[in-house]
Amino acid sequence: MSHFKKIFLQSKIDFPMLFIGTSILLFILVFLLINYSLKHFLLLIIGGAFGFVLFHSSFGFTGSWRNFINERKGNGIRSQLLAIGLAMLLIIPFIGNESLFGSTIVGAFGPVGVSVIIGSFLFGLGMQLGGGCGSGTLYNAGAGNTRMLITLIFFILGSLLGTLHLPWWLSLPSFGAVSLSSYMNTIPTLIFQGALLSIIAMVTIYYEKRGEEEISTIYSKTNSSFFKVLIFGNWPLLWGAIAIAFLSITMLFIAGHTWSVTFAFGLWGAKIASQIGIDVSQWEYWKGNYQAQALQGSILNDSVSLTNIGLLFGAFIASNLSGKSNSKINISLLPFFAAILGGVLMGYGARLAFGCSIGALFSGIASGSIHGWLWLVFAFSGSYYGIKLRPYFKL
Amino acid sequence: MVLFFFEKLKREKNITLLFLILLVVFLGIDHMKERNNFNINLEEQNHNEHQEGDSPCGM
Repeated sequence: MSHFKKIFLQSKIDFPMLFIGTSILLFILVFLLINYSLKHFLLLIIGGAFGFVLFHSSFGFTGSWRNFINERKGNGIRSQLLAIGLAMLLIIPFIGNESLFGSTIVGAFGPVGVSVIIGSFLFGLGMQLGGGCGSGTLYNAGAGNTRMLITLIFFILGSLLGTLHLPWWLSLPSFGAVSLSSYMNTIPTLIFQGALLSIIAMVTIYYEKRGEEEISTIYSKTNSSFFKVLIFGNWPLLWGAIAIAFLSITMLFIAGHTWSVTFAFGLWGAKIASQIGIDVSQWEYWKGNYQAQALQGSILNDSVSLTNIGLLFGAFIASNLSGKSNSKINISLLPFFAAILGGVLMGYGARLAFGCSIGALFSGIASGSIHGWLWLVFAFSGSYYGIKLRPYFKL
Repeated sequence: MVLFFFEKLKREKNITLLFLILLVVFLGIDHMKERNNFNINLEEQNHNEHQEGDSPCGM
């Protein structure tokens, strides 16, 4: 018996679910290739890879921030810092250049102002109640977590509400978008941001050491073979960080913009609202150039939606490869309300803050935007209070 | 038959699969509806216009 065959026979793959999920994904891929373009096809594949990587490496902001605040374990945060650091090495230098499909590459820039401060705080609070950030909600929902599906649905509702109120929030004091590289050029920006990321990593190590426990690592060798871990999961965080950085750079060169998640939630909400007779096209937010075009076109024509859809399916496939059990739904009332509240807060907050942990934090910092750093400070503060609120919801 | 499906929907992954199928149906309906008024070219979404509140990047 070959090595690979033995590994497959020993695995706990849920074959029926894996077959259905893969078949639907392949159907959408073929549909995109026939009706749309190679670019759409590739964006769905990248989204699928994101879902696969996120699930297999359990790469998320919510849990790792909570681990650090509650238990002083910083390996999750350090893996995120590494991913951001790697991504920025290729994102910042290429902003303004041409993407593979001819569009100009743009970074993720948002205003440094009150809307981002309030929005990121609400997002941080909401992600601890909802149980996941933007990408975390998507991949956990795709992997078969019903509570996260509830969070996702209310995330979409919150995003829609955010698009209604954003113009008012933007009327509050703001310095506008501030790009570090426009002040200090590319190399100094990379050095400066690299230093800041390193300082945060060292702070997490300092707090861990104070607890007199062993420093948690982002890589540990397992007894399982490389192939087995790669396909069936339980990746070291290091693999996740490198893969996320690689995929976000690939997305930049294909889509022409950085990785983003929550724009699509607002769009999906607006589409559903339009179906039930609410004319969102008259809302100021949806009159913007990009937003109006996205609203008029098909969801399959929106690059952010494509990666999100791929991410859902990628996580679904990964969870069935890992043998995640098809457990009975067991959500009590308070965690159910926490999912609703967390979803709405995250959706609304992400709109105000010009993105979530991906669009604002990951892509913002990797683009050299000051609003990404502002987002980090206030979302972390919000998370702190969100963690304090969790016991009231029996979480 | 109804009871059979009801029993199936008590399990988490079955709910997720139903959600994914409904999402695909929603995408199909949206595609059919917008087919007449959309331009398939993604470049039409002008990423160069990167003003406040006017970009996909995290917004």
